[in-house]
Amino acid sequence: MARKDDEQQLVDLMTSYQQGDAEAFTGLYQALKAPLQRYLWTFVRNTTTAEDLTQEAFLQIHRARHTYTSPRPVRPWVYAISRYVALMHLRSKRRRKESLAFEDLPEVPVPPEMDRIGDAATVFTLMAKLPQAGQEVLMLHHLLGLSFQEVGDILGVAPGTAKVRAHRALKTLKEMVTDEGGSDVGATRS
Amino acid sequence: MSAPHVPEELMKAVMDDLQPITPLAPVWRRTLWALAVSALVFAVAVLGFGLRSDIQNIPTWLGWGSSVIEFLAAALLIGLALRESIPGRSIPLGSALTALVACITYQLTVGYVTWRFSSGVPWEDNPLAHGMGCMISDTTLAIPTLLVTVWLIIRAFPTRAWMAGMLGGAGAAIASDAITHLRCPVSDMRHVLLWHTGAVVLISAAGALIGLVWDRRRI
Repeated sequence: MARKDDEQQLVDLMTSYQQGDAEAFTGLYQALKAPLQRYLWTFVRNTTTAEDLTQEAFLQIHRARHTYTSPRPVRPWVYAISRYVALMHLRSKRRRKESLAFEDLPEVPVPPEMDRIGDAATVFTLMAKLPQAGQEVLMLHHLLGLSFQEVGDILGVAPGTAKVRAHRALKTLKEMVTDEGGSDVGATRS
Repeated sequence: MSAPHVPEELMKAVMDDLQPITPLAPVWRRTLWALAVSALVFAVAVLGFGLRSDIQNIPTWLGWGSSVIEFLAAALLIGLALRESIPGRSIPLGSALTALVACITYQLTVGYVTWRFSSGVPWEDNPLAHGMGCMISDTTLAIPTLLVTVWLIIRAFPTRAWMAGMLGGAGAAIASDAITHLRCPVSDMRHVLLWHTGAVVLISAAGALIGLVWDRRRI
């Protein structure tokens, strides 16, 4: 229910923003900055770069704002643009993923399903070891709360494929916790 | 936790260009714009250059009927391309390829059934000249639709421009083939497969390439 209200609020903000309301843009920025930065971090593993990419993503969102059609959900549209920005960044720079302390990233609440696997630190650090495709679906579905249909629309895969990827990634994550007992948590931090 | 502050530079960029905008028209309406161009090309080609010499041997459902269905198939592909060009509405790659293969299969099936009804002008007469003529004709007839579709794609925000371009190219090629089906008198399957299906593949690849090149220059 809360998710639905949040989504409706985003739709209203987006519609006002399309009509030229600067405050609506600020509202969108405040609502989406933290989860977007979290999501973009999965691509670059660097807090500063993720922050830069978040700004770039908002700039692209501004340029592409005419492509949003109310009352469609705002989040899949925003994440798809952000994903594109991240992939362009990786393509142009061919940068290696770097690990920085996850504590520097904005807070995104860990839902109960993920919380059962381990604490936030364990979850985020072990997630970094998963393949990119698995990380993305876990981040989008389990952490940021998007439906598999929405995840599929962002990634360009069928909802069933997104579900399978999430299931596999979650299974691998659980195995990592069991096998390693979280012993190497923090090993990838710099 | 306090609400994040919008960085000054970002806010300035937004404020510099914050006039009200009109959201993009729905996919179906933009598809109709592309199809309107196709229909115009169809009318000019058919009225200006006439129909194939053996049209009387081909039943109406197979001649005009299958051309109309091919047009609908083109509309589907162009619609998918325009949907793909909107962020967050990506088409699964499998679905896009299935649509593409289904349209090509339909084109080949129509070619085969037409061949069964009328062998038309013999392929052996001058295969290269016939073939090149058809390839050039298919490509030329597809260009207006391809240009409009690419323009519609670029006006949106394709996150996989190569795929949107490929689907748009395939749509333009299939629309062009709907015209050629009524104009080309060579029914031999070797001719259809090599030159007409070849043209569809070539124009689809050209669409993908246009998308790829445009994407590299964008950000």
